[in-house]
Amino acid sequence: MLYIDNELTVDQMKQVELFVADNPDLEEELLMLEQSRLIPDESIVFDSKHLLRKEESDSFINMSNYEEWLVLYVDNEVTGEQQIAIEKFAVSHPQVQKQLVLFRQTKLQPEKIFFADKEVLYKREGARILRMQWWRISVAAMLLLAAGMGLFSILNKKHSTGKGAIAKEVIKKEHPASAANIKTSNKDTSGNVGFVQPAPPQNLATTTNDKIVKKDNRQRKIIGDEKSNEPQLAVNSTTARVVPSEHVALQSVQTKPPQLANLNENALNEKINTRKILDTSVTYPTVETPHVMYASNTDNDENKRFRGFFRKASRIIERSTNINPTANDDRVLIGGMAINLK
Amino acid sequence: MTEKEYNLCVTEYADNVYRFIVKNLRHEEDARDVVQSAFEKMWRNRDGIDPEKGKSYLFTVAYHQMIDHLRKTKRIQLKDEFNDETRVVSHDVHNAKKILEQALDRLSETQKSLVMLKDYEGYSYDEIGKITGLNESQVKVYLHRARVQLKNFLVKPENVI
Repeated sequence: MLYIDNELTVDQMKQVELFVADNPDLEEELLMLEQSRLIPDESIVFDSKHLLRKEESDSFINMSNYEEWLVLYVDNEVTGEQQIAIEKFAVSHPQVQKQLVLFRQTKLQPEKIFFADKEVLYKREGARILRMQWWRISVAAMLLLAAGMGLFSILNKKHSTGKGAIAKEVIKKEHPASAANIKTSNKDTSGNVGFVQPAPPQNLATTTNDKIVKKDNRQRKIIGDEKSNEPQLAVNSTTARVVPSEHVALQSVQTKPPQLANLNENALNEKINTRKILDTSVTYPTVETPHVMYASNTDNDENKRFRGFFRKASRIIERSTNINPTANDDRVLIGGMAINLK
Repeated sequence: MTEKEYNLCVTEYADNVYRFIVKNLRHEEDARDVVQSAFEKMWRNRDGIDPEKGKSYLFTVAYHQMIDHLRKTKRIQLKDEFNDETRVVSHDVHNAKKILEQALDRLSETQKSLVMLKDYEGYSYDEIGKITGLNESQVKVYLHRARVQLKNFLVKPENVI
């Protein structure tokens, strides 16, 4: 086997040959082994050697590589200079020119083929839906409910305190002595002044006012009834509403007891005047304006509150900056800038 | 890629992709399926697609889906046999376009796709390589062989116009 594979030295090969000559029975076996060797087929050749060869002249078209350059030319894979060089080379070589024409014919011409019904390809983005879990929904609902209830109670509170204030004013006007009691009752958020129990002569006024606060819808009816039955009580409630200046006076009455006597006199005078008007029964329609006064009372309080807040704020700014915005130098300071008025 | 840009791709490139696929598959319904699949994939992955590379993306996806389709159906081998028979029958048809189509049918699938991407869409060797997954040198060699093959088919005596 080593002899067949040509893996022996010359001396070793001679020894093998002598041994086979001395033993003719082995000669046939050696011949078979030699025939098992593959002989290269010289007819098989690689016909694209030009693609593999690399020469300095490859950077330019020549007769050995023009086919490659023509394909690149047809495929538009050459630069402007190379394109001109190829065209010149083709013009100067008719054979190359003929090949160039044939390569140009291999170019496919675009065909008019359309994709029918493109509508199936068009897409639209749908609105993104955020899915909430059940517990999130329940929490949100609870929060909304709580907020709604809170808002309702606040609004209701404001409404009732406004009415309570009016009722209180009426009581104060009628019975200044019970001012302290009313003051405590005013803290009641429900606006109910029912627990105020003044002296027996004052009972009628207080209960009448309670009715006004609690039953707003029935208010006019009650007052009307009282007008018919007890005109004096109706006068008490209406006089307090009709004259807003009295409201201010009554507020000051709480803090300044010495003025109570004067106020009582004023109230009595007004009461008498109003009674006169009521007795004539011509002025009844004018009494039907208590609702307007409700609104004006509360608005005034809020305006005063805001006014006080702005005054405080302006004082703090003036103190911290030591600037008097309305100094006597005929100018007004706005935002730290001085604007001359002259 | 936005919805608008996607739909613009449909308007501008659906015909091109369809032409490329139908010329390779020679089966309209299958070509439509491949095109629709390619656009579906584009829509699903639109967030990560550069709008400027929408066309290349479509051709890449469509090309690979077409190759998968061919592997599954083996339709092309049957067609080739059929075309060989018809080619013999239609010797007298000396129409340059038809002869070229016959020559094209004799190319391998890869070679045919490369020639179409080059001639129909005008892609460069580099771009064709990216679409087909070949490197630029391979594209160059395959296209060179394809052109020589087409040219040799055209110069055959029975095909000379």
